[in-house]
Amino acid sequence: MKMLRTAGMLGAGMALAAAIVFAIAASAGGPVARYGGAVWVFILAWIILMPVLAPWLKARGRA
Amino acid sequence: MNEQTTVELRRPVVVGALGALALVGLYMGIVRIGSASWPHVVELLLTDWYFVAAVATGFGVQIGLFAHLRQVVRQNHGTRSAATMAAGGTATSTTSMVACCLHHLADVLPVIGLSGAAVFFTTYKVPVILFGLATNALGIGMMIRTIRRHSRMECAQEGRTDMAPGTFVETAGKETLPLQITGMSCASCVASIEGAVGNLPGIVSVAVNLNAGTGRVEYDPATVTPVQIKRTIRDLGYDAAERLEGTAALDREREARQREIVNQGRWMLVAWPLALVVMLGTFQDVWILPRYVPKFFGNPLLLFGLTTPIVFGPGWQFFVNSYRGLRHGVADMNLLYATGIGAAYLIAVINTFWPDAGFGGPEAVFYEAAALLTAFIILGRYLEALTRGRASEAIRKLMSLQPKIARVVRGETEVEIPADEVEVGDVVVVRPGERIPVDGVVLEGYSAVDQSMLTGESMPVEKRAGDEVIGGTMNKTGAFRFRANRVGRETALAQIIALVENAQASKAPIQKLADLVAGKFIFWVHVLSLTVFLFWFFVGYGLFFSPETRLMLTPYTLAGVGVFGFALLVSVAVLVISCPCAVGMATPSAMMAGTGKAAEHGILFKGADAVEAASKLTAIIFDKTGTLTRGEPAVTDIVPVQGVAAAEVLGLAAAAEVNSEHPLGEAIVRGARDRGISVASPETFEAVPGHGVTAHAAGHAILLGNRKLMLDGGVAVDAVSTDAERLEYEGKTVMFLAADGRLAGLIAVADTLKAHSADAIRLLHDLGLEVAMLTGDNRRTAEAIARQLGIDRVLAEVLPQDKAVEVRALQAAGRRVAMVGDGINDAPALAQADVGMAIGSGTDIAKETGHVVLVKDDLRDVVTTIEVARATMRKVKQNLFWAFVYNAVTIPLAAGLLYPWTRQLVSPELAAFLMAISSLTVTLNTVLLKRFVPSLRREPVRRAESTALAPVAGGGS
Repeated sequence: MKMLRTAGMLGAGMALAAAIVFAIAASAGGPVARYGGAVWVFILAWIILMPVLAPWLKARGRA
Repeated sequence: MNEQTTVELRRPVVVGALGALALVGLYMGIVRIGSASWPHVVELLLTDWYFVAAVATGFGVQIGLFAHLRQVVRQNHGTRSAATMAAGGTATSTTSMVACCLHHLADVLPVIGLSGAAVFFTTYKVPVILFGLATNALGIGMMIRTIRRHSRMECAQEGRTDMAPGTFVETAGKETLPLQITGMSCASCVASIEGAVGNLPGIVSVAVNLNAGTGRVEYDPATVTPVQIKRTIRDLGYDAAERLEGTAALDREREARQREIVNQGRWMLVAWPLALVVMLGTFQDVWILPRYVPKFFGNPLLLFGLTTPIVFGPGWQFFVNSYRGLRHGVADMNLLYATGIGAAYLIAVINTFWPDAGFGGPEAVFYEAAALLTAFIILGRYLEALTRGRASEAIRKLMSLQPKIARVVRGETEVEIPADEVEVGDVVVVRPGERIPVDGVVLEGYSAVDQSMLTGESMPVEKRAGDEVIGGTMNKTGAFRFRANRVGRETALAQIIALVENAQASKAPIQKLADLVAGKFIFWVHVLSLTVFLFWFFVGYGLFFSPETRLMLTPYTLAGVGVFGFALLVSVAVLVISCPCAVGMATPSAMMAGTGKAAEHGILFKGADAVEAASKLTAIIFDKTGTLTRGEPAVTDIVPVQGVAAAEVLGLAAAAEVNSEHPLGEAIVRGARDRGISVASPETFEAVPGHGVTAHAAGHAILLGNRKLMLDGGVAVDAVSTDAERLEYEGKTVMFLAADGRLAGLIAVADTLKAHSADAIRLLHDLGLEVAMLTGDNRRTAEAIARQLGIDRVLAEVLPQDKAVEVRALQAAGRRVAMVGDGINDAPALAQADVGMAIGSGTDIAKETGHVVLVKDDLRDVVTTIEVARATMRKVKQNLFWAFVYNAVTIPLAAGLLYPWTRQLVSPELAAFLMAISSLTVTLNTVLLKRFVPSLRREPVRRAESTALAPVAGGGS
């Protein structure tokens, strides 16, 4: 579980970074588009990263 | 820490230092951009080698550092926290690099409108650079410290100083945990469970069967416990329990399925009425609805009030399950549903309460999307639970054959006890109309037993003293007693159930592709959804958006939808329309139905791989003796000389052989008795090794044997020599009979073909297969049989140990070969063949070695085996085709590929409807396999034609 928490936090951090990049890139749009999009990017990026990071970290831990 | 580890640790330090230097280079390169405009940046990228080299080196060294450290950690310090720290450290340094890059990019940020970020990075230039360099050093330091600490800890834990840190300890042994898993709804559930359990330490293998609702986990008991395995599965939102045997398993499986059907049915009762009202309310002002639907139905607040119970009632399970899955690092279908429902609902709520927030305004409340999406998904789950139950009907039928009560004799009385308490040696009483509780041998009584459920044989089989009876079969007419000789897991029924279960739980090679796709599907769908979102947000909306935009098959216009609402809508549609269920279910559901259908006909596939291999066969080899033939010689021809009756010839020969133990002699005696000829006892008898016998019987001096015996006895055989040559050409063994010094006739003895052998081979030819025969007999005999049966190729005079070599030779010639055999000596060939088929009357070893067991001793089941396999694989391919085509067509559609031309988008509820239809189509297509009828059953007239007791050559194997 500790490994999963680590993966979750790491994934959340990376997803947050992606969301920030999105928010910066979308600064031309209105606040709803900018921050709503950032939230959606954060959710999808986190969902994408979690299944990648968790097995990867576990595999490292098991090796 | 040993010397090798020290050496290993020096490398990351060196590489890390190079990384830091590279960052400086990167900074110097980027800073040269200055306040360049984008075209100038592009120009720099194309012309300024220093800048390009600096950027490439910076990234390259970081990636190299990361990869190298990962390698070091994996090879030398295989502990989880070390890996985590290494990853964390590397991530930290990578993040710092990104920070540095952002800083450097501050000079160009104003060009693309990011003035705030530019100001920040310009203001704090020096701290950011220092932070970047410091975190690089910190990351590397963390890794080194962690690795050192774990090196010490591991050595201390092992109590050894000579062992390199992270040395693997071989697993001492493994155990198997059979599981009953409930709550799975689609292929991604299988991937989730396999992924989460597979991630536990000490797991050797995991195989989960969606349709059977079962799992099999091989694990190292020293590392992980069954409780941990079950808890992991339960944490994902499924119920897991150790699989029970027999009827208890049946009861539990049925209860779980009923529970799922009732639960989803109950949620449908909530979701559908509300969703339909929401839909009416949403479209209140279109078509003829204004005449019948009150205007207040379209009030967003009412729609909010109606949709909220759907999302947080029936739809809540998807949020809970996706959360549980994510906690274990797995993404499944629940996540697709949850994100789809959640996004649609959230947009609707925002547009209701904050209409000016830019999500499309009050015209774009997608309550009906969230409501109908949930309703369709629940409907899909409900239908899947119903149809999945049908797919596993065969196994349930087999399980239900096991009677619960047995009547055994205890002392002088008959006592009723639970069937699973019958012990070997118990005398069991069976009355008319009762099922036989266990396997055994009839002691007394007579009856006819219906074995059709186990063997597929439609006619009841007569049973009398000495005959074997099979547990689970139905006693029809009489009563009898039998002695139990196999009980519990040893009974034929239990073994058949185990075989079918194992076959249904196994995975065919073709499923690997489907598993690969289904397992990664959710991940890639999310990646695609994100990509689609970014494309429509940054590019597509600006280029293609039109106020005429409407949702497909609805009058809904999206004139007021903003860039975010538009991109989100497309992104959600992609999530919802994608259906890995259809891909994942395509193979296992067809395999289950196919192996179940085969079991109904007395054909037991040991694995899905055998089904696939059987469908691709191009050649089939039969063992001769015991497979094509009965394996015991019989009198086939009697040719008397003029003036002598055939019965007299056979009677005298039988009298001479009555005390013989030679197989040919026994065949003659049996032949005489079968024809009602009384056999006299000989007064004298003498065997002449290699030639025959001499005897005095019934007042005659008898010679019975080959030409040499006749020649030595001065008997001329010219009168029957033509017949003798003809019969020998047919592969039969000819024996001449002389009485009182004069030739009386000849008798031909040969092995006899089994019923339906020729029929089976004709049907195999009809299927386009090449048929070969393998035997240790001489070539002439073998070829004689081949002529009678129409066999294409004869492999004669093959020693038992060379049978596998012959199979291999055919395989080397490019053929996919099945071997049909029954004996111990066939086992290597059965194992070598692509498909080994052991016939029911054969030895246990042959059955254990074969990939397919034919319960009945009927060679036509070989034909049925191939037909079932081909029908199953046809169904698999159809399912896969439709599943892939569905996704290939609908996903681009949902992603807005046609939008620039049609100005129409797929709504989330339409996406949900299509998704539910796709998996339902696959399931229903599989259910059609239940209608499969083998050609033998379709052609009763042809089946009646048989070659029963047609004579062939004798001896050999």
